[in-house]
Order: sequence, then structure tokens, then C-alpha cells
Amino acid sequence: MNRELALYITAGVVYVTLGVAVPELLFSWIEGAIFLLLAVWILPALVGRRR
Amino acid sequence: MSWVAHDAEPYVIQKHLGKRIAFVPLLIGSYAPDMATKWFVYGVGLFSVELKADNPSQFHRGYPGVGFTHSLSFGVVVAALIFLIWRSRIWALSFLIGQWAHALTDTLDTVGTMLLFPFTTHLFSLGAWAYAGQTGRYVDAGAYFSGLGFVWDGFWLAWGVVSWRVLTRRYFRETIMVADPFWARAARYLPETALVAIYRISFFYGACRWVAWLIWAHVVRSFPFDLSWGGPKWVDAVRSKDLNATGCSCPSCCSASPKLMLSLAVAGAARVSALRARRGGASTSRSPRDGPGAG
Repeated sequence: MNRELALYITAGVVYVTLGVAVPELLFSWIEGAIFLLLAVWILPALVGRRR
Repeated sequence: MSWVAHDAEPYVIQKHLGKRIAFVPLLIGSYAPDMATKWFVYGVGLFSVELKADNPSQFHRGYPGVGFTHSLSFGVVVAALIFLIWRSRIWALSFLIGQWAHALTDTLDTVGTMLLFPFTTHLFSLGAWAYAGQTGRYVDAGAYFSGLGFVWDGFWLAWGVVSWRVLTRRYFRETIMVADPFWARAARYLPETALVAIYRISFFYGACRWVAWLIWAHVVRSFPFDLSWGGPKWVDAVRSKDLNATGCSCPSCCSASPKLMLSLAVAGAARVSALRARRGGASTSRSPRDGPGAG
């Protein structure tokens, strides 16, 4: 649970930073969805598989 | 318009209705009124041609335009279609609740919504914050996150955070998946981590956007805060009185369609007389002598 929460918070901080730098990103729900899926599912799964 | 409330409201509604509601159609309903129209309000470039509504606020909320998508009857019609096609009462009801939440929330800006379309094209507005869609999306963002709009969004996000259990994996397993077979079908192809992330996307997106737009509007740019009713006053806001029929302050006079109002009155009268006839028939078929022990 703590690891999961940390992943979401990290993803949120990165997304906010990117959004402030490139506000165009903030308009697209689809891009937000892809970003979250990458951050909390696909990348951790790839990293887990490599280990 | 609301920038984040439509993302957060479904989670709060979900918390209160639990298994009586399906989350996916609730979310689709919450997004539905703006789904296919917002791009034309702000304009979009396509092969060096800019496509944009001549009168964005009229197009977005009024008539002629696509303002009907923000009416209560639009929700009823689409919910009825969902029920007819998929025979799912919970999907129809969930869509309806989501769409109504959107239509009612948008009455808070200065343009408002045609809630009672097609009976009237009157825009119902409480005018809490400025509608500035016609200024383009960046000025609109700056204005929205400087007025009461961002406070309203913050209220829904805070309510969502207070209802944090609705975002947990356990709640997803025990309520969301149980209420809607969509998730069980999706689980054949995706792991639970992905499904939970999909379920949480809109809250994540709404919360992050709220923070990012506030930083952008007040740190990167210097849009001044103005939390007065109908503000910020520094932006050129469109108001419902600019779009409603001239001099019309009452929703059932100038902008009401007489034919539709008449049709509604006739349909109502016919329904009442049919109910009366049914009751009359029932009472005459039971004679006073027909007591509990008769026969």
C-alpha cells in the first residue's frame, strides 16, 4: 500500500511539473491517462521483470 | 464551465451510492456534455485551417448550438438509449446522474446551461464565476483559476480526499467490480493494478491539473486573484443575459417554445385522465359488497 501510494505521489509530482512547464499537456485526458498507466503499472512491471 | 469538478464529482457520488451505481457510465455521463464540443469552443488548427465557433459561448451552451448537451433532457434521452440498447438499468441511471451533475455544476458560471431544453432555451445561471471560453483556453484557464471556479473544484477535490476509501484497492474489489460486469470482463485482459489505475485516472488527472493550473496561473504567469461573485472582473466574461432572449428574465416566457409547452401540457393532461380512468375502472369493478371475505 505504501509503495503504491508513493508511486502515485511521485507520478503526480512529475505530472504537475511537466504540466506547469508544458501546459498543453494539461488539456488532454488521454495523455494524462497514458502517463498514469505508464507510471504506476507499465514501468514498475518492466522494472520488476528485469529484476 | 468547470475544469476539475467534472473529474472529481463522480468519486464523491460513487462514495454515496456504492453498489447502486456503475462507475464507468457515471464518469462518461460526467464528461458527456463537453466530450465532442469543447475543441470547437477553443478552436483547433487542422491542415493550416483554424476551426472555431463564431460565437463560442452560444455554440457551447446556447441554441442554436450544442447547448442541448447540457440539458437535463439530454441525459434522459441518452440514458433511455443506453437502457434500450444494453438493457442495463444501472448503466442508464449512472449515466443520467453523471450528466445531470455536469449540467447542474455548469449553471454556476456566468453563462449557465439550458437545463430545461427543449421546453425553453433559457440559460439558467447562478453567475458565481466568469465564463471566458471565447478568450481562448489559456486566458480562460487563468481566469478560471483566479475566481471562484477553482474554489468550487477545490471543494470537490477535498470531498474526494475525505472520501479516500473510495480510491482504495479494497473498495475497488468489493464495490466497483461487483456493481459493474465491465470490470470483470476487463480483468480477463488486464491485471488488477492496471484496472485500479484506470479507475483512479480521473481523480489523479483532476487533482494534478488543479495544482498545475494554479501554479501556472499565479507563479509562471501573474493572473490576479479575484474571488468576488462573477469574477474575475478583469476578464471579458459572457453572461447569460447576453444570450437569453432580450429582456427575458423568466424561463417560461420569451424563450420557451409555445408548441412544446402546449405538447407537454396536452401529454400531461392525457396522462392524468388515463390514470383517473384506470382508477375509476378499478373502483367500479370492485363493488362495495366485495369485502375481504367476499366470494
